Amino acid sequence: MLTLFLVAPIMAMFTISFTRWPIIGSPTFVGLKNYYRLFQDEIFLKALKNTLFYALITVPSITSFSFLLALLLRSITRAREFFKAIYVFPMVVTLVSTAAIWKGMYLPFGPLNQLLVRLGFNPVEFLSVGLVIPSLCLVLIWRDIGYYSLFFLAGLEEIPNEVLEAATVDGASALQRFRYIIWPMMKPVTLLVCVLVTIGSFMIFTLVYVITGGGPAYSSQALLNYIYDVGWREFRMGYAAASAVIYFFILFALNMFERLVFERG
Amino acid sequence: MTLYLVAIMWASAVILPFLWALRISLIPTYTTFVSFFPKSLSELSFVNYRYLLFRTKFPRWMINSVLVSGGATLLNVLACSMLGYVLARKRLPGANVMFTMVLALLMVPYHILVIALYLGLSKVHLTNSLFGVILPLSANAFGVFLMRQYIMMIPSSYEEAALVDGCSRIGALFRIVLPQALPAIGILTVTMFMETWNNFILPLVMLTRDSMKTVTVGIADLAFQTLNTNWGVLMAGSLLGAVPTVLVFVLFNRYFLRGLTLHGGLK
Repeated sequence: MLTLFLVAPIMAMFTISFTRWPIIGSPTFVGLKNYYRLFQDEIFLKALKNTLFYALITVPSITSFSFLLALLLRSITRAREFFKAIYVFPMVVTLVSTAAIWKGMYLPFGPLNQLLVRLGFNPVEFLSVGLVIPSLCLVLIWRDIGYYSLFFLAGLEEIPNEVLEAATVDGASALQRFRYIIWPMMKPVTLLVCVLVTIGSFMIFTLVYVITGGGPAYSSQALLNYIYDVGWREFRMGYAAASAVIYFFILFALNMFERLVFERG
Repeated sequence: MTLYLVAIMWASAVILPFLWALRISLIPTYTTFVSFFPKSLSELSFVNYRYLLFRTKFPRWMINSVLVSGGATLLNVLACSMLGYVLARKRLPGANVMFTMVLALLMVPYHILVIALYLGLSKVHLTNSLFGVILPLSANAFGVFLMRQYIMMIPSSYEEAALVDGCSRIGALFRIVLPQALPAIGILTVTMFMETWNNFILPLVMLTRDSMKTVTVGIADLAFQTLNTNWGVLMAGSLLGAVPTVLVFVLFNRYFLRGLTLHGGLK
């Protein structure tokens, strides 16, 4: 079953990537031409760069904010379960719905800009060329930190209270307790979250598809969206397969890296 | 005290966009300057919901989604239980190799495979068929891993007794082992339902006929419908499309949270 649905298609993908195939008719063999063209394709390189940019923003911010949120949850005693449920809520809502709602939030005269104006700021064009990637990342941060904070919270709950109390009795400040007790014990979880967010950011698709469609001027195009556009809008299957092969190797490398990290930890 | 203030502030930041969506879905035509709180209840209208239910294929999309998620989840639980059982119990030559292979496949996110799957499935004419979406989702390495780990913790003496008394292997699996593995099955069911309901790129590629779409693809369609997005209808659709997963979350909160952290830890 697994072989049928995973290994066979991967082989097919590699084969198709050496052909020219406009879906109708049969593929013609073109050798490495697709790959050669791909690395001169400005839009592909842009999508690659954008995807790295998504990762570069989301990884540090989601990791640190969810850690902070976990520390917050940890120090709250009353209604902790209630807050946990609320914070994880965006993760429960279908991503397409979230994307549609945020498309509304980012309208030129939408609620976010109205809020900014009311607070005395100038309205911002969230989905303009320069700001579109940070804006999309903001949605991801907003959605994910509640979820990842649960990882940190689980880690924090494993630190025995006695240790922290003993440190307090010995005169350690809050900062010292964090630096010398909490942080060393949280390193594995932090690593895990970093890796998960990295992989997640390379799989961005839905958000870009619904909110911007990759625009304006391809400034928010992600790799997966590029593959979709080439394959299913322009019907250049061979070329799309070639870009999917590259994407495959990137994700494969990331996964290998992840495994390495876990075997160390 | 300040901590609670911060906690409440973030909680409202999380909830407010959804409330805004709810508000927009309840006014007949979208205008920018709508006050957040309705002045009276009579101001609210269900025009958008009526439009969604009677003028679009939305009910059909919901049914499709239920069929896809339900079917894929069911197949998943079955396949993963059986495979997990085999890997946990049978001392087959090469069982370890198989287990490593399963783990390796666990690392391959299916996103990379969309093209490949599309090519494979269009060969066997499964585009525009719900099976084309259900089948690729019907076995999943996380589930196999989870079931194997859990079944290994169940002492095998129970089934051995049953086998001695003349029960078949399959019988022993369904009558003795799986009832003891209910917590793991619960986690698997809830996680898979959430995941398959969320699925977007696969149905987007596989299902192009309007009446075959799942609700996620349908909502994305509403977002692009015309030059003038009908915001009220879009928000109504977004909210209704999220109801099943939210329901599952509210009902099976504990399974869901356990599953999430487990799943993340394994991926």
